[in-house]
Amino acid sequence: MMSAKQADRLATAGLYAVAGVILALLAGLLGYVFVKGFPMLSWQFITSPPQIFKGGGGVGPQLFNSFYLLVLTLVFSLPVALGAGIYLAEYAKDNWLTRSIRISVEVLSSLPSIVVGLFGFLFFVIYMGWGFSIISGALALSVFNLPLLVRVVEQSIQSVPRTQREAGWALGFSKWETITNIVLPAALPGLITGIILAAGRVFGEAAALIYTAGMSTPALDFTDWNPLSPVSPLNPFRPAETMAVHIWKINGEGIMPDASAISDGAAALLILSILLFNLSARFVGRFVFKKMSAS
Amino acid sequence: MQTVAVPSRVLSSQTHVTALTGPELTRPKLETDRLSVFYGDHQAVSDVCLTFKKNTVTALIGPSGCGKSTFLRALNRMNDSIEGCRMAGEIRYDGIELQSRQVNVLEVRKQIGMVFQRPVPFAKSIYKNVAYGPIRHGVKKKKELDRIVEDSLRKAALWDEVKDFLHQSALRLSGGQQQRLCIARALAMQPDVLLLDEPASALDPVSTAKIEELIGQLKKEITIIIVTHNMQQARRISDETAYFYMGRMVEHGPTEQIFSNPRSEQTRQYISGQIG
Repeated sequence: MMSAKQADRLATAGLYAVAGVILALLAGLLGYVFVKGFPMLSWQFITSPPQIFKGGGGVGPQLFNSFYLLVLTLVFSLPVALGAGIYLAEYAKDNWLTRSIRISVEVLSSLPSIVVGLFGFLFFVIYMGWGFSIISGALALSVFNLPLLVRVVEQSIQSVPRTQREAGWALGFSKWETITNIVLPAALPGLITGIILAAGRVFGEAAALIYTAGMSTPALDFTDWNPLSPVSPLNPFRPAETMAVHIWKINGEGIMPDASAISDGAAALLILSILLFNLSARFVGRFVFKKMSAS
Repeated sequence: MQTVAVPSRVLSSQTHVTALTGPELTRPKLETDRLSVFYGDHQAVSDVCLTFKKNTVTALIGPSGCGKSTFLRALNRMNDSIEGCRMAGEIRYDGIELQSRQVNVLEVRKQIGMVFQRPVPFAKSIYKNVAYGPIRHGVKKKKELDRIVEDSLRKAALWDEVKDFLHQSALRLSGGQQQRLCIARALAMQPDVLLLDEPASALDPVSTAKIEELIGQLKKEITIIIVTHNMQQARRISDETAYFYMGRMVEHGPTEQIFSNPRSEQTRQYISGQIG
């Protein structure tokens, strides 16, 4: 028999060991990607377009595409997620309708992304006739992203104490005014964290994009910002290969001589971008909250 | 019974209302007539008839779960927001039946303000916390808002402590200051009646004393109804006291009389500490 003290020590050691293994795994993985990829990173690499047959190409358009798709995806999914999350948290009564909404959200969130991609291919690319395009990709990613966002919105709104709402009502605010003026601002830190999480997932997603946004990028003219022009980077109806898709593609069928080095560099750049995005979003969130709570 | 025109802001439209009581002067500010509140099958308040006179402080006392807080929250229809909550009987404010369908509940809450047990500042600046209500109700001019904010904070005895950092977050204030900020926020709506739900129970003695002093000042202008667990507090600050037990109002009268010579044996036992 072990004494309680021994058991306690054993459990503590076990937990430390598990935490250590996870940390080592993460550090090893990141370290490997960075060590292999960092030498590739240069201004030329992150701005110039890829080469098909020669070495020395970059990933400029892919980097741009990743960010553009992310922004468009959030533009499509955030309003819907906010609406659904607010409804579920503030208005929904417990009945068959809300139960079925919740179940749908859960089922959607467990859908494999390749399935979402194939759905996007059939519906947006073929049926709607948008072809392999940013808009098809962004909509497919919105489908993929919505469940997570809805839950995040619902949970961060629910975490605002009821007393805050009552204080609003006691001032003669209507329910809607209380939500928009008091509950949402108070929920903002949670909302921002959730949006960052969702954005990171979108940024790294490849499977859902292969069949929707496509695996190629036309020659782009980065001086043409008219979204209707076919060579404009902003044109939502052009195909757009993202960083993650590019990594997948050159590992499979890249015929440039420096394919594996480019893939390493792109991987490091992808991780770096996600890191930067997270940090800056956190910073912006804290800044906005501070601004709002003191002005 | 007579029919009078009551040009009150509480009604959605100007309507003739049957006033059940006599002339303006003797009519209570607020009264309940056989008011009952139910949560589902549970009856929390039973047939309470109470009158609240203008410019007086009425304390509602009684053991936990006696229905005094529920009763208080019925007065500005805060219970509307609780699912399964139902009310019966009447609440009359300046003679107007508050549960009538013509009554705009948002206007009711504007005129019958409320402060809760725990301070609930919004995650905004001190200034915004106070100015929010008036902004929402249509005050736009910066000057006018500044005046309302200063006025309300002065009335809540907080101005001198915060005037130099009005634009800092209200979350950085102490508990006592936050509670006075909540009182200022309620006062900024220029309410007629203020409902206080154990406003000092989460505060230290110094802050409590400040709030009690404040209540004495405020009653010159408005009618105050306060729920309290603290018998000494009730005795110090109130003009009238009502004792609640098991959802019923047992006794109501001038505070001095309730504490020195209660009519009901139950009240006497509670006040002397035999019922807790």
